[in-house]
Amino acid sequence: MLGISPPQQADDRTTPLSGRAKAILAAALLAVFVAALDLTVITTVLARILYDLRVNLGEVERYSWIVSGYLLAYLLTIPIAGRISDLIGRRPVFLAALAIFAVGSIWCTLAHDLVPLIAARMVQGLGGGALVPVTLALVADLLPPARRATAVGGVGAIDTLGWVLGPLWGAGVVGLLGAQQLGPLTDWRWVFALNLPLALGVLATIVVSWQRTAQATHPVAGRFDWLGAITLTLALALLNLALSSGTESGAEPRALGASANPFAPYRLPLLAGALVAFLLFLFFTQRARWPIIPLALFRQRVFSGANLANLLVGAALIIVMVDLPFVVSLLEADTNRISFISALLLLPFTLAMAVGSLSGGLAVGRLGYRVVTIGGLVIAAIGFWRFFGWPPRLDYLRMGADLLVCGFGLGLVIAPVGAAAINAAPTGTHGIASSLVLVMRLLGMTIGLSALTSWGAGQLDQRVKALPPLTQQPNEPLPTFLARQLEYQAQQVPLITLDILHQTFAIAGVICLVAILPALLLADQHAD
Amino acid sequence: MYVFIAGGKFVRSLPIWLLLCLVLLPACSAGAGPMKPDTTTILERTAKRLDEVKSVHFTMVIDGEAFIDPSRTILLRSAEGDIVPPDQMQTKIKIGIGPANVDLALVTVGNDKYQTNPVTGQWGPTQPGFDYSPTVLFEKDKGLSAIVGKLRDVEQLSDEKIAGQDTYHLKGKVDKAAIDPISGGAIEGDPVNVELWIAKDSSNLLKLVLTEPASAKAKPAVWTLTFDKYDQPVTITKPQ
Repeated sequence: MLGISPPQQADDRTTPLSGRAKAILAAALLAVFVAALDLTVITTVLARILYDLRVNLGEVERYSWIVSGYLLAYLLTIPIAGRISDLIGRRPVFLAALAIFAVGSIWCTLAHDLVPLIAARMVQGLGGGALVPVTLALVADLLPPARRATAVGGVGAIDTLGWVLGPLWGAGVVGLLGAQQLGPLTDWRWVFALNLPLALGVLATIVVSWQRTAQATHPVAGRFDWLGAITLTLALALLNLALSSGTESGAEPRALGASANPFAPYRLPLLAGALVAFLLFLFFTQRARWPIIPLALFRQRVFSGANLANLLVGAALIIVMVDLPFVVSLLEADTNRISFISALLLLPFTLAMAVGSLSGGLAVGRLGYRVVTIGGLVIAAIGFWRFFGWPPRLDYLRMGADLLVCGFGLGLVIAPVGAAAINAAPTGTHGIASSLVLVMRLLGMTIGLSALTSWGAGQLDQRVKALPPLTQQPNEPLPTFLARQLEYQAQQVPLITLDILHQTFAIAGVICLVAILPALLLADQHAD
Repeated sequence: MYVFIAGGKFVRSLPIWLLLCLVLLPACSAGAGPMKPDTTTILERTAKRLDEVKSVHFTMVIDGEAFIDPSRTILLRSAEGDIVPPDQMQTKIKIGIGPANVDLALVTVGNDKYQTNPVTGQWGPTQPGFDYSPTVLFEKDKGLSAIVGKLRDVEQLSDEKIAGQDTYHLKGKVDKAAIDPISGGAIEGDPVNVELWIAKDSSNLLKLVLTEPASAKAKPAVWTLTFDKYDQPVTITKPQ
């Protein structure tokens, strides 16, 4: 079981929390917020990172791992770390997770190549993801049952707020500090470097407060489902690698001189490996006494429907977060303004998501889960369909309005699917149910990102290669020829890329409509 | 020791004493290390070695702005490849265009020269007039050996290890005109600051750093070239 262990004391709802317990909770929530920021902080600084690290624009299947590597590591540790903290105690697991997140952040700050940066992001994600279930469990440990549900919801809200504000945070940090140089710190590196003082502050608070509090937690009996954890990790990692393998064969020259996709020759073995690992996961999990993910929960029709809808919403959501900054980078000539404009345009989207989420929570009481979820999905699909018609220039009013509609629609869905899943879970499993809601949305984000960027990269490659090539004129020096190519590229490639991104938005709209099917499974019950 | 303890037998023991000195002196000098060659000798050996190179793998990373077109819109960012002097090479060059990096591949086999189209990535023959090839690095009169020969204000810095090899670390200056053939004129300012790391045992040039003078621009560009896999077999084939 993940997350919440039985209450140990302070069952009385009138008992106020001690100052130290409040300090622990506040520090833990800050850590969750910072780690969630890093889920999406990358989107508005990605273009700067790629340029700085000399990564070819056409190698999407490689650099998309800067985003999906973190997502994957983050979501995988959510079910694992909660259980480990049940076995060995919250404090060591929380401190280890924080330390891993800090080490990953330092490594990101110092990375001078793509592969080390991806590895560093995965280390960061391992630590960041582990903070979520331990904090959820910590809330359950420290609070009486009557106050627990609200607090667990609060952890989820803080996490969501973090990744919703991530793009804005990234653009803000680069805007304020990017031009400053302090040793190796400059430009996008500040975004990761700032995690360190925040992590150290949390670490100090936890070390000082948690050591002495009377409400310190104790390990519980049981065993860790290693086989389940390993096979689940393998299945998801192999699936994402397979989805990154693109659509080309991997041998022929690629547009923009990009290197051959290293995963392309292994597409089928990767898919087969993912399938085998997933079947093994099901096999081991069904036999485990303390499974890492209790599959019995998915026998609940409402729980499965809500989580499947949530997974699809995650896939649609990440398309906006990642592709919008790319659209801006193609339309804005001033490279220094790309991060700022991306964050500015994401602001109506994220704010509308927050408003939609609140409205969804209120509307569920009157209209029920199913109606609110389907309504939100239809509104989001309309927003995505509007993106499809964006002109090839930065039309702030049009784009902002469409993003507002889409964000509100997606926001409307979040509260009902989360609440439906948690309420469908039997008493005593609400902790793991709320974690799984988060995991499924993140899984949708990871799969959606890998699949659609891979598809987009394949499209870009095919269409750019189909352009009639320019030939070097007799006695034309290379720089002059390149300049002529630049002009040609400046005319053609952004238009093709924009068209592909618009198609990706349309696919995200279709995903929203597909999500209506599992949403139909939601019992039309009114929330308590 | 016996010689001195013996006292009165000193004169009789003199041949033994001299023999001991003869044996021990070379050992003592070996402990202090061989005489360090002067910078002129090091540079002469290096220039000679560069002219004898059969093949080498190289990387080049440019930290800062190095424009390769007159309108200053295309940046040379890095390069990596193999050179088989005098007329074979395969190189991938990374160029910065606006906010994006794209790659350009070059292959030269004798008189046949090929390059990829930077937009479509397709291979094609290089048209006549193509005036730059990394093979210039190993041309006697305008390549690295020429630069080494023209180095002035040379100073020897502390020895360093590069890729596990003991190296002499030298620095000096060279006129921009001497650098232009290998940089395609992309290095600005005059004279250019040069640092070299030369393997002690083989005189192989392992690392070369070219830094624009502070007067060139607000953030002078730094070109770092590394060389390895000297004289190892490498096959350079014409692209399909």
